[in-house]
Amino acid sequence: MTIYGLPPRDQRGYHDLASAGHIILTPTQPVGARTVLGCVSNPRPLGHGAKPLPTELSRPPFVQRKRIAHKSKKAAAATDSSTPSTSTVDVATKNEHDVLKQFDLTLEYGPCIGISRLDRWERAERHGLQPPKEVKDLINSHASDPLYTECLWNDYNTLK
Amino acid sequence: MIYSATPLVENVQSFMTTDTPANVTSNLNRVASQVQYKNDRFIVKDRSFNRQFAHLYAERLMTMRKRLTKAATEKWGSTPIRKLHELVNDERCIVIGTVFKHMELRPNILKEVSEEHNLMPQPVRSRYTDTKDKLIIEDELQRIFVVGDLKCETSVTGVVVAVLGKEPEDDKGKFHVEDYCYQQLPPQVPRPLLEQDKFILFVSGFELGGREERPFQMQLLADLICGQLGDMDQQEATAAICHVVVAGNSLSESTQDRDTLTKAKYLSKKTSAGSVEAVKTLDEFLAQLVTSVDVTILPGEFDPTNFSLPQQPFHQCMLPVSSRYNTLHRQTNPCDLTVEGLRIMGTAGQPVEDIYRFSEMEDRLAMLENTLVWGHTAPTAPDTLACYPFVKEDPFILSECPHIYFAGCQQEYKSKIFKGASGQEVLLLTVPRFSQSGTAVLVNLKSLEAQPISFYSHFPIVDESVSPEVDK
Repeated sequence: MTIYGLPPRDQRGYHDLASAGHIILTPTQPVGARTVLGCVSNPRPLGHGAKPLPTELSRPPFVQRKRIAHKSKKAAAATDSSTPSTSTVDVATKNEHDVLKQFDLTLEYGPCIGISRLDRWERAERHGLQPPKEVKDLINSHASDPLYTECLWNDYNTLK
Repeated sequence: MIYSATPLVENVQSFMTTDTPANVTSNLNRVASQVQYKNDRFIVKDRSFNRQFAHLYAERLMTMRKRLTKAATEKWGSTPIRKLHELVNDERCIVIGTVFKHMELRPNILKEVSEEHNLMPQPVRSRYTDTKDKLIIEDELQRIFVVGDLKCETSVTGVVVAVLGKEPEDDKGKFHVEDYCYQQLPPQVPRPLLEQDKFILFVSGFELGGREERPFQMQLLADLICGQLGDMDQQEATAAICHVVVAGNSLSESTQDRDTLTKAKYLSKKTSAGSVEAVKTLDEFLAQLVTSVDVTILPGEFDPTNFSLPQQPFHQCMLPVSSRYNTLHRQTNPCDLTVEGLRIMGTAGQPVEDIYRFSEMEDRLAMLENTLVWGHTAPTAPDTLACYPFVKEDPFILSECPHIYFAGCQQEYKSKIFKGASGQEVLLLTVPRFSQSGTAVLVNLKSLEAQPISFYSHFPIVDESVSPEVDK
């Protein structure tokens, strides 16, 4: 069962729902005032990558992505008008960046600031920590792009 | 054989007999020796100082973790090895991490520049330890306080250790240690069997350019090595010295005087730095030695080279006359060399001095032994000992067991044979300062015995207040 509509006014900050315009509820959910938009009945931001808070109703697990408060409507308009092929490319790039970010945040491979990702990967490899090969492939395929070769906090020059 | 603990006395007074023909001139050839240097890891190639030291510590931990895992499983069997974030209360397990010693009195730059403390500089002390010091063990993600068997007094920051113990339920945040272990001493290349006695002379701390320099004793030393002293027997014995190692502090501390920077220019314009004269004297001294023997020279704390470890070799422009000979080998500090198949490793003493400052141990030889057991030549680098921010590898980790392990510029001569668990034998050696003691150390490469050789002179003290009457 699909309910088509926009989220209520006070919860319009949620970018992905605004752009999607689709809210899918499981059939078991009663459609009441509190739970029309099951995914956003809890207005508190969950923080990046956090697990959803358990509530008494079952709903699909919700992974909140970054809040873009003011740009939500414009972004909604933009992405609606863009062609489907570039949106998949964007998602793919985003996934690549996520993979690299996860590599940076895995502290078993040592500190990530002040060292290039490739050096860090090689250091992990040299010590037998078995870093994922796809990270190296990603870095090598975009060897000239600092977003790929340097760590997450590369722009913060005071940290180096 | 003269240079041994039990010298064989023969041909006594033979030089006093008159029946040796006057035109006897015999040429004694010095024994040849093969020398190789493995100091590549200490040569700093790119001077990029914008790296953090976290990478050096991470590299150290990762390298030592493998060796410690092996040592720990051999020692304690199947006890699980846990990372700190996986610790379960009251579970007996092994944790591998870097020791950090929290010391209140340790000079801290943050305290110095902090405004609440009224910008008073902390006084320089000979020891920065205190009874309230605590030990912490750190792995990649967390740190935890350590109590129990691992004693605070004999530990220093930067050593990677495996501890066996548990975190009790009622004392969370502290790891109670029952036992600990370090890396197993790495395998040693078997010592080659030499047919004849060959000696290496270790000397350090000439301290030229200062008040305590001893030019007369240095000249005696040079004459002895070059075979101009002693009778035939002595000269034959001296011909067996195949290598000389000058282990640091060839220049005195006073040559590092920075007064010229603060004095007004018009006062200091014509004066040259104290180190210029001193280096010239060093060059002339070395030029005498290199004409007849291989000399390895290491820079020390007060020598004109960089301050942080590993110190780079003397530049050849500083030793123009002696650098022309290929028998002069200017090496890094710490130095890793092989003479006649024997592996020799050592420093000019700065790591040992630093361990003295930050622990309660007294005996320098014991500290040297500890660095061997810990598997790291300079564990306090970079915490309290200046160090270059390495990223690719930590060059101070001992991967091979040396036969001779020395530390220069120490207070007194001491030596000891250290026996490792798998039959390794290491001669631990503290080389005394020549300016204080006039002593050099001779090591016999065939039998791995060490022996001091002292040069003493006495000049009658001229009382300058009683000056001779000058004819007016």
